[in-house]
Amino acid sequence: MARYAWGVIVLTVLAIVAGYAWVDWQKGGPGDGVYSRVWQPDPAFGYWHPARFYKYDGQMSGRFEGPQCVECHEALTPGIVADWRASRHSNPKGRKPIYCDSCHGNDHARLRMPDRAVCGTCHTTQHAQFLDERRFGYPSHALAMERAVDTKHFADKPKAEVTACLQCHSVAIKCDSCHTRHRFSAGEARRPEACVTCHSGPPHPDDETYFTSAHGKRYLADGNKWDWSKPLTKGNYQTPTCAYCHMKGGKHQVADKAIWKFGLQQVNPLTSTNEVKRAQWVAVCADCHEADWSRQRLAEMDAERKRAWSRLYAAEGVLEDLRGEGLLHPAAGERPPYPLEQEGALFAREHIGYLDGQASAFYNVSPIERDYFEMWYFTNLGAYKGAAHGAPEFVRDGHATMATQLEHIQAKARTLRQQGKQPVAGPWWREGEYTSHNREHN
Amino acid sequence: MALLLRTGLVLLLSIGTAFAQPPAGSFNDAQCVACHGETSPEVHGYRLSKHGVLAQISTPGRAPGCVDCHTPQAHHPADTDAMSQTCGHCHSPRYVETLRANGVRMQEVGNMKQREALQLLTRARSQFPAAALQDVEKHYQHLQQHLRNLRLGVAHQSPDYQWWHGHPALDGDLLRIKGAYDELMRRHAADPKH
Repeated sequence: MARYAWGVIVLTVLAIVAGYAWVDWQKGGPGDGVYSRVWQPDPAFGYWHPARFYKYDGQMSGRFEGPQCVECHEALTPGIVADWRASRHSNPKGRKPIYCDSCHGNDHARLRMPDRAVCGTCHTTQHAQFLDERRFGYPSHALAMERAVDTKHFADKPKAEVTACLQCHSVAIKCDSCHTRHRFSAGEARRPEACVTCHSGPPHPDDETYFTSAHGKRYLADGNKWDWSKPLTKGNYQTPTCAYCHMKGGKHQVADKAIWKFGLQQVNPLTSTNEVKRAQWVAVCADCHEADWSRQRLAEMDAERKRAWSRLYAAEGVLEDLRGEGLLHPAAGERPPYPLEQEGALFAREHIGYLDGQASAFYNVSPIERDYFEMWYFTNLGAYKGAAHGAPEFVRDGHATMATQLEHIQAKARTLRQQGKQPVAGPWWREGEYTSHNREHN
Repeated sequence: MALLLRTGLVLLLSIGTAFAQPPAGSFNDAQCVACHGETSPEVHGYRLSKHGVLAQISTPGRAPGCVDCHTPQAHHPADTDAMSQTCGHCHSPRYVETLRANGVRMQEVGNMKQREALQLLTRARSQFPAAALQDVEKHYQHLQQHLRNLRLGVAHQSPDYQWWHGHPALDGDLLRIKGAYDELMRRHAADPKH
């Protein structure tokens, strides 16, 4: 008996080692992440993930000291020199200036595009805090690049198309998403607008929900008069901003207090871990509000989420029933391939729900699946952000829209049932300029 | 009364025609925003871009506004070389060229989606009467709006307009056009007179 047990243990260890080796091999391709072997980077990726993709073109050679860089670039790119002059790098208190070469290097033929590791050589506390965020998992700034490149739709779509993703997901790689170059101002990053280039749009209307909240209205009315050089601590600001709550005291972590996270899954908000996070939220609110009042607001958000998920699960149930009855049209095997899936695969299956991969199900799917994607990824998340940021009209409108969307999905399902099993999907589902191009180009 | 209505209609139509042609003259940023509107994809997309953000919260002149790139004679045909020079105030020629070329490719992928949809729409128009095409036509109109969002997102470096108001929205329009065409074909197969 013991002999067999040893066999099982040895096989398990071998399987684990082989699994690690396989993932490692997968990451060794020209792209990045676990699908790196199936795609080639677009040239623009060099600016979004320099350590992985930037190649200097070597058009200019020679070694230069900082003041020489400034002398030439004053004429060539005066805007960034003016930025640098206005930054603390050019005039740090009691220290020597941090010139261009400190970050870009001296050898003009091998200049580097700095990423967070370069900033982190001096800004050690912030960099360490930032990296530490990884232990909270997705979503987080620190894991944003992995989140982008490891999704199937990123790997599958043409790379010029998904460059759009990397502009925001590069927040994991570079500090200038928030501290814009070449001024790298802390005061600028403290203002809510610094976040909205990425935190906007249908899945995360953080901008609209904040600016229409009581906090945001106060900011819009008075924010220009405030002293943004002050740290994000009690008494320094009349109303909270994105960074005040999510990065209290300037701590470079946004994921450490996240209970409902992105809003894509239902969570149990009352686990012991989430109770610790809840206490941290209450402590933030307590800079201005009573603790009981703050707990009540958080409980209201939990209730809003519960209502949202009862609607979302109802819609998922409709889709799962249709899938079971084989009524989704075109069926999975009749579509252009799902990201990275083989066309005409034996066990082709429609993806319903977050854990089944529905985040990639916004294209090459049947219309009713796309309807659910929009209900889940846009309307649901808008209502969530309304609840989180104190914008009740977003909650009200979001839930009204979700109710309409659910009715629409149910009505469509009734029609599909009346029509019964469909004939094989027409060629227009699988052919066409973009669809055919995408089959060969990713 | 009828005369009054007719005069009003003529007046409204002439105002409409006047605005169909962009006005000539010299403009500043505030005037651009007043006409185009805060919620237009061109102004909103720009405001969300890093340039637009810095124009709101940083020192004046640090980031380009409307007329810095489009010139005060904004409604004249754009001079792309002059625009590149404006970019060169802060960015290297290689950076500008890399992002511009990427933007052209990103836009072209959008054009492919539009042409695929138009091909199907053209086929539907030749097969079915106009009254049956309401759904397909509606989705195609949305697609054209989303293609414009994408173009403006590329031009103004707004990831939100390139992506959420652009590419995935185009994907939705395309599959809904296919679904609506599917529906027409199915009804036709069930009842050829339909």
